[in-house]
Amino acid sequence: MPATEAVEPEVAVDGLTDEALAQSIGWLRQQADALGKDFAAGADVEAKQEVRRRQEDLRDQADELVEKRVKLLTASASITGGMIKGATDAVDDILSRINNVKSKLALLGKVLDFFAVLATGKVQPILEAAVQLKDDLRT
Amino acid sequence: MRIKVWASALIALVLSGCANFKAVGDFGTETQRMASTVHSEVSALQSLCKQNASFIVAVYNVPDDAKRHPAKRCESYRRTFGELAAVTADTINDYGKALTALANDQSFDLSNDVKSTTSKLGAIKDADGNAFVSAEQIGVIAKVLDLLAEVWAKGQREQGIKRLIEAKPYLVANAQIMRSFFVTDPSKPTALASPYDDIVGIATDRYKDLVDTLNDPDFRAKEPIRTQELRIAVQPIGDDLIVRRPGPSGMGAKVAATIDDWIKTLDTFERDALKPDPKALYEQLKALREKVIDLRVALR
Repeated sequence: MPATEAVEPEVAVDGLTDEALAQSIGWLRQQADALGKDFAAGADVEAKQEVRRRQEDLRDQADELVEKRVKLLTASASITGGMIKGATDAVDDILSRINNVKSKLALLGKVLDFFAVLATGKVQPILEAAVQLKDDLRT
Repeated sequence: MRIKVWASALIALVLSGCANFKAVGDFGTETQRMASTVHSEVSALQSLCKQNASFIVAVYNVPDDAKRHPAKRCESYRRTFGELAAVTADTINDYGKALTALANDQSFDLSNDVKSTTSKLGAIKDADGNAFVSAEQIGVIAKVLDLLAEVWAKGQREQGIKRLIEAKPYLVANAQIMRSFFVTDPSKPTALASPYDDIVGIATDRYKDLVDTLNDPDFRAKEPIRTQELRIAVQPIGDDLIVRRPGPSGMGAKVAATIDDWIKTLDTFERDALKPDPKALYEQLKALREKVIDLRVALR
């Protein structure tokens, strides 16, 4: 059985408490460092590379636990993050409201344009203006 | 006569207790800068992971199909950091953006829209060419509508700022969670390293082993030129790690201090945002800006 599988502490993976994870990370780092002796005693480059890979496996396990710590933070922050998003969404609504008023004012201007033509009493321009207003109201 | 009375009342309303939108905008900008600095540092950690991984694969001869391949971890880190950033730095950045949007006078200025619309009243004339509404009447209507729009828009802006101020407790809690990524949470046992210190610590362990390996007589004898080149190539990782080592002068502590300053400025913002001349807020914003600039220089 590879050494890396034998040393994985269950409490950190299953318990998921930040303190337990932090302690396990420290422990895994120590285990990886302890293998430094095996590196020094390695017979050749290949044997030493094998030791380094085993150390890396342990450090990768430590990294995995660090990720779990970060995920715990993410879970905590998602609640407050959601509340902040609610506030920024409200501001987006306000900006939409302002833009909506601007659009309505522009539309009112187009209606007034139509009335200006209507007041002249000239049939052809009125028809053309009515078609234009119909298009404007659609867009 | 009536219109004049309304106009006077509206002018009085507009001028009374006006919020200082410039201060709001400045705080929004500093908020975005702080969030961006946090983002930069998290990106730097990912970059360190990738650099370390590329050397580890080459020097330790890690097979592509290794169960725990270093590059896979960096990719996983990228996702995990991204998730944390989405609910912390990105959320706070969006908050800063909302503040700057509320401070943008042009977004809330309806004068041109009102003028453009009311001016069209002048074009309405009967068949004989007589205007229905005189130029003087149009001017008064435009002024009243303009004031009404200004009062309404001002109310909307202040409502937005109040809504953002109300979110302050969540912002503080959120920023403190973001802070606890970088430095030990004071409410927890002091021996507990922060995730940031763990990441830097593991990367440092890796770096030291890499350097030792490249200095190892067996490795040097087998590939003298390559090990020499790699020793030079890995050096920048060591430099990046030194400035990030745990302690008060480390990058994690500096980022945390900047977050702390931002939280303090948030207190002043809550108190002064709607005041016409928030001097204390300006002073704190200046100090915060200097700190963020220092940190950005240090991060380069």
